[in-house]
Amino acid sequence: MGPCQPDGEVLRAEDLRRTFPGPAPVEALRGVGFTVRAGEIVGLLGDNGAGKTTLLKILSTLLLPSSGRAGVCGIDLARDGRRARRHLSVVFGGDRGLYPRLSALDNIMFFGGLSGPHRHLRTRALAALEEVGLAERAKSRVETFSKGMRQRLHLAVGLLNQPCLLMLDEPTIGLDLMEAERVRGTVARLARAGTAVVLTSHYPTDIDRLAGRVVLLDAGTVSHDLPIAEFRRQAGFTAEVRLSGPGIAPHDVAVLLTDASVQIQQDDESWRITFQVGAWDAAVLGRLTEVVRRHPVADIDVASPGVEAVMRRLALNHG
Amino acid sequence: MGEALRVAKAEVWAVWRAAVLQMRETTRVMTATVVSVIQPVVLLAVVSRGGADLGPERTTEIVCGVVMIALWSSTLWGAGTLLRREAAQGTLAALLVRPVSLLSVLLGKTLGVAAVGLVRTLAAAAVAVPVLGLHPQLPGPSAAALVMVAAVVSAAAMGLVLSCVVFLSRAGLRIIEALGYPVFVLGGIVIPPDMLAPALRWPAQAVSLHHVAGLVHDAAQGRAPASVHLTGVLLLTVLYLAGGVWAFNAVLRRGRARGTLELA
Ligand SMILES: Nc1ncnc2c1ncn2[C@@H]1O[C@H](COP(=O)(O)OP(=O)(O)O)[C@@H](O)[C@H]1O
Ligand SMILES: [Mg+2]
Repeated sequence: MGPCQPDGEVLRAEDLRRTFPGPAPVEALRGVGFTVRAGEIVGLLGDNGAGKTTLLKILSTLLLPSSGRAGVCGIDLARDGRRARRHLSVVFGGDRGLYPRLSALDNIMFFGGLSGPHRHLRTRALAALEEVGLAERAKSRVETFSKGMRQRLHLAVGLLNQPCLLMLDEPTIGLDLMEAERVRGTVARLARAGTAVVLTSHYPTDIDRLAGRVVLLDAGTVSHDLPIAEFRRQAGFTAEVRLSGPGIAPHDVAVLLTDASVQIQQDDESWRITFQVGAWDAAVLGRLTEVVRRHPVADIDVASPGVEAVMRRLALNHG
Repeated sequence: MGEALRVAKAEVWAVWRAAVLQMRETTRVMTATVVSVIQPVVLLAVVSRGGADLGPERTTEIVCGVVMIALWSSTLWGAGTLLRREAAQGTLAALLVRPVSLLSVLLGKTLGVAAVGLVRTLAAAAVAVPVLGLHPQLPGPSAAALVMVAAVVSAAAMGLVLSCVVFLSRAGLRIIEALGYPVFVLGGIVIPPDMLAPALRWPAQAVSLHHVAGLVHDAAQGRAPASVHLTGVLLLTVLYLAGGVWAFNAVLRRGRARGTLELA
């Protein structure tokens, strides 16, 4: 659809800078550049205040950059905002941004209709509501909706005009587990159909489950821009192993494993030992076998490092 | 060419969708009912309780004046607070990321507010006037339509200017409230225009309500509308509109550049 080629570049940001003036000016962005291709999901990570929301506001034309350029489907955002807006959608987290006295269907039809006259608007609006699980509540007023339902309605509005680029700011904030899972499912489906997605989230789970690439913002600059697998490798280990068993924790384990990262946790009637493996080799496997042979190990859990582990490590390195 | 047509079509469509949405919303807002229904009915009741027979001419003028105040103030109030309400609800950002101009949406919404006010006020008057035993001479349909369109359109244009003022300043709502009374005075609705102090007659010429009141006066007397008032309304409405569009664009430019719009 539109000028967006499958596998083509959908978003390009170059050296974006943004300073908020005032008695103490804030440099929210200090030269941010990255690109997103069709069908790609990019996770935008960073601490509070790193500049994620500011970046999304610039990319959705709500805010002008102090300098630098950005374009969607080759259309410059600052010069031709209206045309660019035809190809992008942005979903800001939270439960505001809807008309509370009107029904879900009224809301979605209105916002959808602002993308131009469309013959099948109503059918598409109902399909979008179905997609986010709100079909039965289409005629209910939004003021009767829970926070999670409002957030899902935002997503439905965002995907209605079939944008080339979908930007989501904290889309799962405040959702319960099932709701969050549903939102993730929808985002993944859209990306498979070719939509380029930029996603910010506080929850590493969202990034872990969805992102193909991670762009990490640190105080307004891009500190990492890596494919997800490579980003996970920044954690500095390949696996986290958790052993557990009954009774008192065996204290020679730390010695056996000769690893500084061993953590022992003793509960009333059981224990848990966690350690990180830098790389799987014969020595590590041998030592692990030795532990299992000598002690009553009831369960072994092996997990690859997630985004959270990387973030933890980077935070430690920071100070 | 194709692009220009597409843009124009999208804008017109946006005006229409916004008007429909706003009509639906306004019918569910309590304050709107107060201004467009309760206020005119109360005013009419007060007048009819005066007891003294006012005569058909005076009655006609009062009824028309009351209807006009209601139309004017419900449109002005509704339109003047639109932008602020969108910002407070967080819908402003959602509107600004659409491929149509916010101005079209605002225009549509203003028309929606005005339409609901018009229907409600006319319905309220149609019920209240006979019940209260008032016997106005109804002006001809074309004269009535002219006056009402003049009132609503010029109030909507002024509402657009105020919308930007209200949006720019936290005290904006109070500015509207404070402006309401002087505007009514200058507009000749509260005091007959010829009783205004001479120094105030000039500023009165710059308030379109003054000319609307003139048109009401003519219609009530069964006279043809004075061209002074017709041109006055037209000119002032265009002026307000131009000022409104300018103020609106200034607000947007400033917001996008400084990050001061209460977005998202
Ligand atoms: N409108 C604004 N005026 C002044 N400072 C702002 C404004 N918006 C954001 N900031 C500042 O810019 C920095 C980045 O904010 P933000 O983009 O919201 O970060 P994030 O979304 O990553 O938490 C913060 O220091 C924030 O205080
Ligand atoms: Mg944020």
